Amino acid sequence: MELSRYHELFFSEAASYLGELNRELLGLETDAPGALEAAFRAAHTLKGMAASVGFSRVASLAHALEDRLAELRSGEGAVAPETVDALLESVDGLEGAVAAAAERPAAEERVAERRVAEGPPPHAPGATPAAPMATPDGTHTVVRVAFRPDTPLRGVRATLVVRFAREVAAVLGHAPEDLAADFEGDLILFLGAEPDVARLEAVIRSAGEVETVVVGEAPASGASPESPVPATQRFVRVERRHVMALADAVGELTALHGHLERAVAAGGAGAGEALDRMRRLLVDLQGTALAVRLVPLAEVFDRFPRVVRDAARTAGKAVDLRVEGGEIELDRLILDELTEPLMHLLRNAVDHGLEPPERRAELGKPSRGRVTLAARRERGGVVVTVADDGRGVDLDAVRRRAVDAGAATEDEAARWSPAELLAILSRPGFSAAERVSELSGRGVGLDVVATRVRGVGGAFEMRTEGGRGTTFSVRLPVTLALADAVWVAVGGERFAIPLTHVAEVRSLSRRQRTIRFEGESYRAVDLGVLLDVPSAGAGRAAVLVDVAGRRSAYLVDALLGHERIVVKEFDVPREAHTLVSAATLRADGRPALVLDPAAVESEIS
Amino acid sequence: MARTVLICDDAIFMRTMLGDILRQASFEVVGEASSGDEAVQLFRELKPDLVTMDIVMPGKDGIEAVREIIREAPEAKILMCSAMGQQALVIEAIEAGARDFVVKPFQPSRVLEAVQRVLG
Repeated sequence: MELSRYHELFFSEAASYLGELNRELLGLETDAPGALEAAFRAAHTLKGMAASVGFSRVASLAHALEDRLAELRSGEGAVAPETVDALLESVDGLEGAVAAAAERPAAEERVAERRVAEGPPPHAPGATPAAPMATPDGTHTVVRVAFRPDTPLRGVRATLVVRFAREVAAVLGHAPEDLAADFEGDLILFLGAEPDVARLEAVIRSAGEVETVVVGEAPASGASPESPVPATQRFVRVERRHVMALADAVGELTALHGHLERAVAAGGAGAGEALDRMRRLLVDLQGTALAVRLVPLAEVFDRFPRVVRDAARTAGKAVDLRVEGGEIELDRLILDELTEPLMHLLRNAVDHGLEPPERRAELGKPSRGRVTLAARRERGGVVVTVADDGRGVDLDAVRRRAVDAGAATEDEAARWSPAELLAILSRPGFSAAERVSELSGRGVGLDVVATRVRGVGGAFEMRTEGGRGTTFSVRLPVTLALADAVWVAVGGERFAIPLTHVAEVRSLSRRQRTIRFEGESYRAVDLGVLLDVPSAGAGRAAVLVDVAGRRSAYLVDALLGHERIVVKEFDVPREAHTLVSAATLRADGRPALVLDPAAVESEIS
Repeated sequence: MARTVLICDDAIFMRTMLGDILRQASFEVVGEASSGDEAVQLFRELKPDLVTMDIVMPGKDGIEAVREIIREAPEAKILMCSAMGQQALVIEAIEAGARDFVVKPFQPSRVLEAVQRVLG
C-alpha cells in the first residue's frame, strides 16, 4: 500500500499529540483533573496512527507508554515526580522516533515491513538480504544499518561499515556525517545506483555489531546527505481558508492575464481597468501569503512548562510559570529563531534569577518562585517578556567587572545607567565570564540571545530591580517578509527605517538640531554622514529611534511617509553594508535599502 | 592445525587476559610484543595468522606498527584493542589497514566474534 501520501498529515498531527502528552503529564504532578485520561488517549491515538502508516518504532513506543499510563489509572492522587520524570523521558523517546521517521519515512516503513515479514531482527551474520528497491530515477540507494543497542564506539564501527561498503559500492555520503564523534541510532549510507545487494549486506555485516541492514530507495522528499531539512520544519499547518484564498487568487490572476492580453491586442483599451483589479488582487494575495506564514506563539510556548519544570527540578527550586499571550501570531521564521533564546532566558531565570527556596523564606518571599512568560502587541510588533521575581542583577558587581575587564574607567562605570550596564552584560565574551554569573546571578550566554534577536530585526532589553527580580524583553517585528517603515530622504537617496524601532518623527525648523521627547533632549545625528551619502544639507526632519531603550535622533533631509514594505534579504556579504539589513522595492520598482537601527545605534555609540 | 596469534600490548595483564581468551578458542599464542618495534619485528619472524594490537605503547605506537606491517604484508590480519574514548585513534588505525577492533574491558564473546570476522 502506498502510505507516503498520509505522511504529511501524520507528522503534523503527531506533533500536536506529543505536545498534548507533555502538557498532560505535567498536569499529573498537580493531580489536574482528567490529565491522566487525556494523556492515555493521546498515547493511544498516536499508537494507532503510527501503526496504520507503518512507523512501527513509533507505534511500539507509544504502546509502551500507553501501558504505563494504564497502570497508573488504578492508583490514586497525584503521581510522584520521579514517575512523571520517567514518563516524560518516554515522550522524549517517542518524539525522537517521530523525528527519525520524518527524516527517512521510506526507510522506517521498510524496516516495519521487514520486521513484520520476518519476525524479530536476526542477530547472527548472514541473514536473508532485503529485496533490492530500485530507485525510480536510478540515482540513489539508501542503506540503513542498525547496530546492536550496546555497541561500543559506534562511530568507529560505522567507519568500518563505510570502509567495507566502499569495496563493493560507490558510497556518496553517510549520516551522521562525522563518524569520529559517537552517535546514537542508525547509520545511513547513500550509495550510487544498483549495488549488488547480497554482497553489500555481507560486507556490511562483516564489519561487526550489525543488527539489521535495510536496503531501499532514496526518500522521495529528495533529502540529500548534505542538507537534511529538520523534521520540524518540513511540514506546516495552514488554515484551509488561506489555501482556498491562494487558489482563488491564482484563478483570478489567470483570468486577468487573459483580459490584459486581449486589451493589449486591441491597442490598450480596457488595460487600465484590468491593472486596477490586478493591483487590488495583489494586495489581497500579499495578505494571504503573510497569513500563511503566521503561527500562534502557543506553538512554542506550549513546550516551555516542561523546560521550566525540568530546570526547576535540576536546580532544586519550586517554580510557578505563568504564560500569557500565546494566541498572538508571529512569522514562523521568527518563531523558529526565537525558540532557543526564550528557552535560554527561562532556564536562566530559574537557575540564576530565582533564589533557593530557603533563601526566599528568609527574605519573606513566597518559597515558590514565579516566572512569567508573556507576549503582547506593541507598536506594530510583538513584545515577549521573561520575568522572574528573584534576586535581580547586582549592578555594582557588573560595574566592577566592566572596570576589571577594561571596558570602562571607574568614572565612566560609575556614571553608567542600569540600562547601559545591562547592555554590557550582553556583549560577547563579557557575559560568559563565570565571575559575572556568580556575582550577578545573570549573564551566561546573553550575548547569544541578543545576537539571535537582532538577526530577526528585533531588539533585546533588560530591566532589573535588586531583590525584586529581572525582566528580559524581546521586541520583534510580526514578520520578516513585511515591515511597516518610515521612508526618509538622505542626500539623493531613500531609506526605509522599520517602524518597530521608531519612537517619534519630527519636522525641524531651519538650523534646529535638537528635539525633545518625553522630557529628554536629543541632538540629531546626521544620517548622511553615517551612511556616507553626500547630504543635500537640508536636514529638515528628525527620526527618533529606540533600540532596546537607547534612543537617538537621526537627522534626515525629509520625511517621505510611512508604508508597508516587502523586505528582501541580502545575499551579499554582511560586511559590505554594515548599517543596512535588507532591501525593498519602491513603488516605482527601484530598489531601496532598509536601515538596521541596531547597527546604526552601535555605530553611533 | 591451530591458528597462530601475536599479541601486542605493553601491559602484561592485558596480554595474559587476551591470551587466555584466545587459547580457550584453540589459538596458539606464538608471540607477545610489548612495543610497536617489537610487534613489527616479531610479525616478520612469526608470520602469525592474527595480530592483536594495543594502540598506546611505549616507543613506536600501535598505529605506526600497523602501518609498517601492512606495508610489508598487505594481507596481514590485525585486530585493534582500544579503550573507550579512543575513537579518533582507532579510525586512524583502520585507515592504516587494521581489519577490526575490540574495546576494553574485553568481553570474551565480543573478542571471539571479532576474531572470527577478521579471519572470516
